[in-house]
Amino acid sequence: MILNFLRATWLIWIKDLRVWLRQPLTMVVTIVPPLIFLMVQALGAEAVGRSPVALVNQDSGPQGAQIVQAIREANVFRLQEVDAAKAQALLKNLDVVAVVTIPAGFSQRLQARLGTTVDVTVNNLNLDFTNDIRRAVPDAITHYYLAQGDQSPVKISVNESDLRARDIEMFQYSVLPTLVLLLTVSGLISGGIATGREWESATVKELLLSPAPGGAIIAGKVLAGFTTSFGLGVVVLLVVYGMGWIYPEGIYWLNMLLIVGLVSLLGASLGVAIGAALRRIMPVIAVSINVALYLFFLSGGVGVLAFEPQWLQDIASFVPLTYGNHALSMALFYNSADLLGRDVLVLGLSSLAALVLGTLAVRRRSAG
Amino acid sequence: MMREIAYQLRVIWATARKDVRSALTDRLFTLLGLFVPANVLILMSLFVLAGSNAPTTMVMNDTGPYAQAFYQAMSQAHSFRLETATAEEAERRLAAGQAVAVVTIPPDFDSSLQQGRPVQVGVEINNLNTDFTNDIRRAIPLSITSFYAKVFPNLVSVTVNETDLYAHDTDYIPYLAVSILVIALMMGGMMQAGTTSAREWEQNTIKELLLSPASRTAIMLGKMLGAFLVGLGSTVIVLAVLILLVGVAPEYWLEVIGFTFLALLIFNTLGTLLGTLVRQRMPVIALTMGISLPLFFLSGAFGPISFSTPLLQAVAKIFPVYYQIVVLQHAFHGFSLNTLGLAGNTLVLAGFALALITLMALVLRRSTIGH
Amino acid sequence: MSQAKMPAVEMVHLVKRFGSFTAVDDLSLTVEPGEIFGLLGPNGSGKTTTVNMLSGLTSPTSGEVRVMGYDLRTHTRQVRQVLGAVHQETALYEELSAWVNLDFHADLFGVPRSEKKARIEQMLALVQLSDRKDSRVSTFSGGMKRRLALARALLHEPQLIYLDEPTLGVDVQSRRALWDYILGLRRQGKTVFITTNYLEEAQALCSRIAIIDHGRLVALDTPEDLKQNFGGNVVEIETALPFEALVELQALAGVQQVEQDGLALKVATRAGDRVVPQIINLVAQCCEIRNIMVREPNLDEVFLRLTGTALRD
Repeated sequence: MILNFLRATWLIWIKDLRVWLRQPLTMVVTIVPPLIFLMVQALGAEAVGRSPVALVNQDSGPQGAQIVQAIREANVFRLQEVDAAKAQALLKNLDVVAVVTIPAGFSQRLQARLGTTVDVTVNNLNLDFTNDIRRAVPDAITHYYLAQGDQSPVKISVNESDLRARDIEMFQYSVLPTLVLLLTVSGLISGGIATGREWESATVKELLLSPAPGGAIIAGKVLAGFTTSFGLGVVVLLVVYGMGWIYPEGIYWLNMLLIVGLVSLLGASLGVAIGAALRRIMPVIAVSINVALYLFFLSGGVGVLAFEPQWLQDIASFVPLTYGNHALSMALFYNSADLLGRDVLVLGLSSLAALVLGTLAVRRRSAG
Repeated sequence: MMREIAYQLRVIWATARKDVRSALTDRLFTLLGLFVPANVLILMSLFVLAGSNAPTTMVMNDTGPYAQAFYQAMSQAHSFRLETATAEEAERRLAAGQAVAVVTIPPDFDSSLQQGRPVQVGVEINNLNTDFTNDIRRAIPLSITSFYAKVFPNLVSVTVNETDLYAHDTDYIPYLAVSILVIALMMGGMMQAGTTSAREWEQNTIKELLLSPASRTAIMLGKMLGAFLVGLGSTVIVLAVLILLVGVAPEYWLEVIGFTFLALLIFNTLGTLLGTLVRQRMPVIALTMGISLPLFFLSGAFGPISFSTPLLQAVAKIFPVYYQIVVLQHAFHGFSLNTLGLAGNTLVLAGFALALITLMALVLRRSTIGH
Repeated sequence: MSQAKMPAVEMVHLVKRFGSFTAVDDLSLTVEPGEIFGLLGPNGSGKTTTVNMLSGLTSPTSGEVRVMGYDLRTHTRQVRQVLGAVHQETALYEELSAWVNLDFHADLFGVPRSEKKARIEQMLALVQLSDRKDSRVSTFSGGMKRRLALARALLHEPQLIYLDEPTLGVDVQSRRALWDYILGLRRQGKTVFITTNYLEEAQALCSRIAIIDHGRLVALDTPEDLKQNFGGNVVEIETALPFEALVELQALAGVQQVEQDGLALKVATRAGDRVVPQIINLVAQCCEIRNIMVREPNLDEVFLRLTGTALRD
């Protein structure tokens, strides 16, 4: 009986893989957008956290020059040093977020120990950019004071230590949500459609009238969905690794592959279960898209879950994909296997539950 | 001539009616499809709910007035979501990913400052990505200068004098939600139109259309009209969510209505084109979902594209999503995000619509059945 | 040429290539108005490609197609107006009702609004689906779908009706009913172009049959003339003992093929040959003849001789 089950599973697995391989267009449109997304992130990396700013120095003294130098060295802006008229034009044309002006008499006022200002005119239409400016200008001013060493009136300094030896660029970090989205879409939606289509085109009769157990049918379809998702996921990983964007070390490669596999399995299991339950392509599409959206975003989406409000984090704890995200980020960025057992267990049990649901759906009634 | 026009109009209406009827027979698909844009809006807004406030744990080894003032300065730096904890708890939270930074106020903070001695504040950062990391790195100096401006105004004589172009800040979510609206409309419109179009090919009913004496342009316009009518429902829902739930009130109502309809038209055409080209539903869906995220990041969702790199600026301008975001930001917030002006952006979008319709007509005209 | 004498369909040196593969190779044929014309061929012979070119769903690589005198390339719309098509896969909107399918077709083909309702009712009555007019097509049997597809094709009163495998997968009763409709179309003066894999259907319906193989026209004639010209008599003999002189039998001039199944012998002869008496003499020499029958070949056998394959391979 076990041999029969395994044999049937294998046959359906291979059949579904063959069908999938005959749809190169689907393969391409599933994998190309995530790679494009990563490229886009990489192309925009230079601009992340460094807003374009015009710097106008109307002062002629040494302190004015020093603060201009500090602003340059702080490297917090993409700077254009221009005159006032040009700066206004740049601001008006939205070429810069802000104009930073060192007013005339800056040095004199400082020498006279009078208070003076750095004038900042901000296009505050967007809080994200505005806050960047609001943080970056004081950062530059602090650099100015730091450069004075013992003479600096600012006595508070920062002793920074980082968790990782090097910063993870935004585009590197985005490998994680990109991968998860790819696996979700590929597994859930294509698995769901591939299963729903069997009923809609009545080819399921071939399966149901065979001696293959219902569980074997589902297992074979899930394995096919898993194989394709996992394959695509590995391709993305290899591409980004080849470009030097991720650098998991040693055994964490295995962790990474394990989690990619489990997330693929979860997506495929859910997709097949939905397909077996609904049995028509259009409802499968509708349900699986919404499920994919909810799973992806409620597990953190493109952001960092720790930044979300507590109530959202609580909801995320019930979403299996959250554990996939956690384990992947541990392997990709932390070189850690912290809570790996928990993450594997949740993903594995969720996949199993989906498998059981799919099997029950197949047994629910005969085809048609 | 009049008879001919009447006939073609009849074909357009009949095709649209047929598609709407088909959509209504598939209630689950239609119902769920109605909520896809709204779901995208809600879910993506959740992602930006916390804005850029980094969850940070403060270890207050000194609780004197200067330390408290520094804590206050940090909490007002628009960058932190602060909690206090012991050193061990702080490390645990950092390791577990529940906090992204630990700021440690040393025990001699107050006394050092009173005596004019240097003092170091420890900042341990989970440098997970540079965007968040740099926000923290800069927010600390902001906190320092704010602290000094309040506590030692005579010592630190260089301060920032800020002038804003707009009377008030637009919060993170109201701004971003409008950008997300465009993506939501794109996903919903392309999905609906694309799958309807692809299904004709998958199920071979396209033969009925291709063998009729009706012009293919009329058939195409009929399909677009049908998708538009079905898409109206989801558009109303997503606008209701944005205005009533997220709380983003439009500044120019007519612009909101007009540009939303234009968005629907463009994305429906794009979906119909995609469905006709690929002729299968699965790639249509995979592509629609797959390109949404890149286009969201590419098209100036977070702010004017002119603030980005020159290359990204050039790429963004190829896609209608960018212009849609510009016009809808104007409609909701009154912002001008590029120098084309409202009329210029509208013209560009109309150009996109016309180009897509023309391309669609060409593709359909050349469509044949291979054997 | 007057409308009355003009051929319904003219295919002139029609060629269709897909890359390096030639699906239709220099095909020329004419269909007269008012006839039921059959196009037969084994799988992969180019039948469907030919009819796709006839209907304009595929463009020819070279050659011409004229329908009711209209050149398909320059008068596509007029051709579509005079053509009614019933596809093999019916191409019905399964999620919609029978009535809605016909209503949509009527609008698409410009059936006058004042006549639309009456015509739909008439067509539904013709194909005996009036009581199911509001049912979803997905609930119909295969035969019902074909009948509905036929009703749809006739709705705009076309002059040429093309039927692709009209009774494929249909039960015997429905098949007979469909044959009656098709014959009725001829009585109405319409021209019918059928592709079929069923020889008995071709024999029952078609005034002329064209056989294509590997994209080329192999034969074109009435069923009777095809049998006459491409098939000689078939001699079926039952013997008392197994006949053993098969080689000698095969060697007789005029014998095309010999098949033996136990005590039953089937000998196909070439057309025009008077070899039958020699066959009977040779068999009688070897063993007692229990039963003997001489008959004309059927179309299956003609087809086999012309193409080397059975029609339903």
